[in-house]
Amino acid sequence: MGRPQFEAVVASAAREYMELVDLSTGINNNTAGTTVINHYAPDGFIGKVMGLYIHKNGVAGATSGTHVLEFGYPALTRASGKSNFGDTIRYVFSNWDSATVKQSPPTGQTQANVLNDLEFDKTNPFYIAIRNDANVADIQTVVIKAMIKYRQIAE
Amino acid sequence: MKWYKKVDGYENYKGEKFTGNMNKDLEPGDQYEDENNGKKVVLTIQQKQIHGNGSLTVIASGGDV
Repeated sequence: MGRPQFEAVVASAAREYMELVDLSTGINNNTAGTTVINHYAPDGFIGKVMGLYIHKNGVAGATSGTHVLEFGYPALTRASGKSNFGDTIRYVFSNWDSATVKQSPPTGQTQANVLNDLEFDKTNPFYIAIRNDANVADIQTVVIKAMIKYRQIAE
Repeated sequence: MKWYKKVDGYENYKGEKFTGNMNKDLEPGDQYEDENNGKKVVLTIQQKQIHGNGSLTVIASGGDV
């Protein structure tokens, strides 16, 4: 009886893992001011946004105007929520839970579809923009948390 | 350095073309023209944060042109 032959099995499958990424950001947007957050994947990985939670309070001290938050890709908005100056903007459960002036896409199902193919890589980021069109400066911390799946595509 | 948006990309005040990734390859203090919510804005890079897994977050802010 010969010795058993063992063959090393080298894992060749691409690495894939999930990570909760906190993109919460302090903003100080004057009237007509904008803050932009771009999140890029590591080299050799594709990032996919599996879940997203955003909470932005109304503009403290404002008496008129609106504020808006959008996300997607630079120069290609996939979703946006606009509220009156005193109202919250909140995105949760793949929907605009609060956006009192305008929600884009306009319905729950299309809003959910936005996340289904929201991927990014090392050069094309996951993009979030926060704009203030109220009549005073908007100073606060916007809570942004994303569950991201990173999938390796190259060594 | 400030980068102006042209039809075929970005260039600085000397007319030199930008060849990298606008936003990602800039450093804090650099400025670039962008469009947000249908309006032209000038953004200044405020912060670049490299995470433990090598991902990168770039935060920029500014106002309408």
